[in-house]
Amino acid sequence: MQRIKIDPKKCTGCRQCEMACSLNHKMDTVNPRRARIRIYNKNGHFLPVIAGPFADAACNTKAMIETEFGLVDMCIICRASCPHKTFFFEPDTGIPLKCDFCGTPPNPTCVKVCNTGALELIEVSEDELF
Amino acid sequence: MDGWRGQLVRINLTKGSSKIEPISEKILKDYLGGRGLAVRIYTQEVDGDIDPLDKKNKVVIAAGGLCGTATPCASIASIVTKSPVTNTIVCGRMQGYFGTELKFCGLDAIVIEGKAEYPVVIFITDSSVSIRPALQYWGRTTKETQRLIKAELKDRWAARESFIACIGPAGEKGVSLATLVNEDYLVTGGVGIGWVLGAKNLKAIVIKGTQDVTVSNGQKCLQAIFSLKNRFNASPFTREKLPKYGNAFLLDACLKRGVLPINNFKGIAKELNGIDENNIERITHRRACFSCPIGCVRTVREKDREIVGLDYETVASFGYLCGINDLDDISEIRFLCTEFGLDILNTASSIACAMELYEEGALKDMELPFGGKNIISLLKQIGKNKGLGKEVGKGGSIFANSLNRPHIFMGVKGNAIPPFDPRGLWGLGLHMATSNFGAYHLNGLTVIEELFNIHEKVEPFLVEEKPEFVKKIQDMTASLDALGICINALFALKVNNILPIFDFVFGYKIDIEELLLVGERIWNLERFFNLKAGLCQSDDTLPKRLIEEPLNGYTCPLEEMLPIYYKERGWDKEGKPKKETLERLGLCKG
Ligand code: SF4
Ligand code: SF4
Ligand code: SF4
Repeated sequence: MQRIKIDPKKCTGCRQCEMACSLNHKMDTVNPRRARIRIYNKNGHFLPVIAGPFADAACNTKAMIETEFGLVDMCIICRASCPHKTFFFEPDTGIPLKCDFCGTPPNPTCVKVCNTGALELIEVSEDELF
Repeated sequence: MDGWRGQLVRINLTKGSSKIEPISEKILKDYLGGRGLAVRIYTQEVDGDIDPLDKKNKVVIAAGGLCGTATPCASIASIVTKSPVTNTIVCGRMQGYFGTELKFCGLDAIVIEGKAEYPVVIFITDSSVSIRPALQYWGRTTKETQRLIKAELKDRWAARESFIACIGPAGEKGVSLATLVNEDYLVTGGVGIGWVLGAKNLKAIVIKGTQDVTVSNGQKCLQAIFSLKNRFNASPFTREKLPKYGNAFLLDACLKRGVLPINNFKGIAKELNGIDENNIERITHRRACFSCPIGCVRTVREKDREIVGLDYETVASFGYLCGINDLDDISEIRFLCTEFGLDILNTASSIACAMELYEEGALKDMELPFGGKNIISLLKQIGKNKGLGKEVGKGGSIFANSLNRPHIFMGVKGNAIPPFDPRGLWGLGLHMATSNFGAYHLNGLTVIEELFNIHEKVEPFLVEEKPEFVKKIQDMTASLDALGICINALFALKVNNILPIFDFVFGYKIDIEELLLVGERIWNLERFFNLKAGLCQSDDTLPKRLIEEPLNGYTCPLEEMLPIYYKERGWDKEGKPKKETLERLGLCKG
């Protein structure tokens, strides 16, 4: 089974993955707000987050996570498109966005366009996933 | 409209009003955007003889034509105004996310006119503009200002997506060397723009856009992006050197070529003084502007602050021209310049000037030998416009003049010469003498070819060939600036590699001649404005030291190259564009 591996340490914050994702999902349109991957800037460190499932209500975890980049709000790293944050919603229609892995078999545009190795398509076995 | 948005917003600070206006397709096609569009709008609306600090002066910001279309390396926006330092038109190069965000606001350009009564901030959200008081930010450093503005935005998620360009205390206090900062990046090349904005009482511009940019063929565009990416990975410069060291790898190349100047151009470096690419790589991390697969920005990450942009310009001008051989000090200097909003090249040059004056015994107020530690306190004084800093902050030209030693200032038209010695790089020498913004290298990066011969073989010391070569590079850079493509892309690409993307983005084809013609048009328009501003042929010159004092047996033979250059450009002997040249470029009245 294939998955996208994210290595924030390598990410330069070029946001080319956002651009490519939106270009691939709405015809002839570039708009990072339509992308299913977003890059967060945390004090100059860049954290790529790929949109996961839609949540119709916000969770009440609201935790801070300690990472090597310092304390990061969990809502930032969380992949859900949830009403608490304005990310992963189409700006004009409000439709929640979710990464579709760019088709079957997976052909992720974001991985193809990333030039730094921050995004990588890897093979994992089912056992490793859980 | 594909690629462009076809709109500008005109903001009048005196009245506090704003208006969206259309931009005609012809203008966009003739000038492409970015520097071209900004120069065209500016020169059309402002007279050459205007006082730059008058409220009638305007400031135009335009996003590069290809910004926001996912084209690799297209991230540069241009900010154009007449500078009070050079008395010419100047164009600042805004890296980072600002230009692209402007496109997502549905705009190609912002025109700022008038003068606010009290300090203000402009908020632009999807073509709607609000102007709010900014007293609480006045006097704050750039980072602090950005933090406060973001903290005051109600929606913290929106704050994450807002991008801010602002001036620092230097711009507010009318320091000549002031420029602006967009996000974490210092704007280069726009000496005095910070002062102009400060005189308009404009502290910051905050933009956030959520609109689409459409391109004419998205799938083909993606393919073109992948193939450009492969090209970047095929060149050793963009695959290895730039990502690893930033453009600081030029240090080594310049040293080997004997063109790395030290101590205010009094000599050249014989060896590196500890400021070298490996040390820079050791203390920095990598970062990129929008859409850029190269990622050449080197940043120092400390616990609670980030110092962005330890580039060649910074390390060579402070490290060698001022002789500071401690990289930590240079990071601190870069940090202070960003905080105060001071132009790197000109600040370094003014300080180097002061250092030479000190060594000559003409300056006694502060102990300032080359490499001296007092530089940091001097820099703080410049930023606060106090003490000796007040004098040095007027710019090297005025400062050296005030002590009756004008020849010590190493600059052209009031703008400082970047740390490359023109005596070994004649093309650069000619470029800087004729550059419309005063000495500046990023609007005609002849260095790439002269040092590395990437695309064509350039004879280093051949008077006859230089003018044609310089003109070509100047035109090429102007058109790339108009497209918003970073000049570093030239390390891997030829200009004709970018041409296919025109069809996929804008929906029409263009050939290389037409593209260079756009560049030539921009260049002539700027020249025309400068002539109206009172510049003349005698301003196309270099400091005496570079023309008269030989280095390795060479001086820069400017006198011989200039007439050939004028002819090449279709200008008369006084350097004025001839009528037929203007007609050929479609610049005659109309
Ligand atoms: S895999 Fe496809 S849909 Fe998912 S984030 Fe990447 S480009 Fe977007
Ligand atoms: S393309 Fe890669 S390096 Fe660039 S922002 Fe996306 S993940 Fe980071
Ligand atoms: S090459 Fe460097 S300066 Fe140019 S766009 Fe890329 S990261 Fe920015």
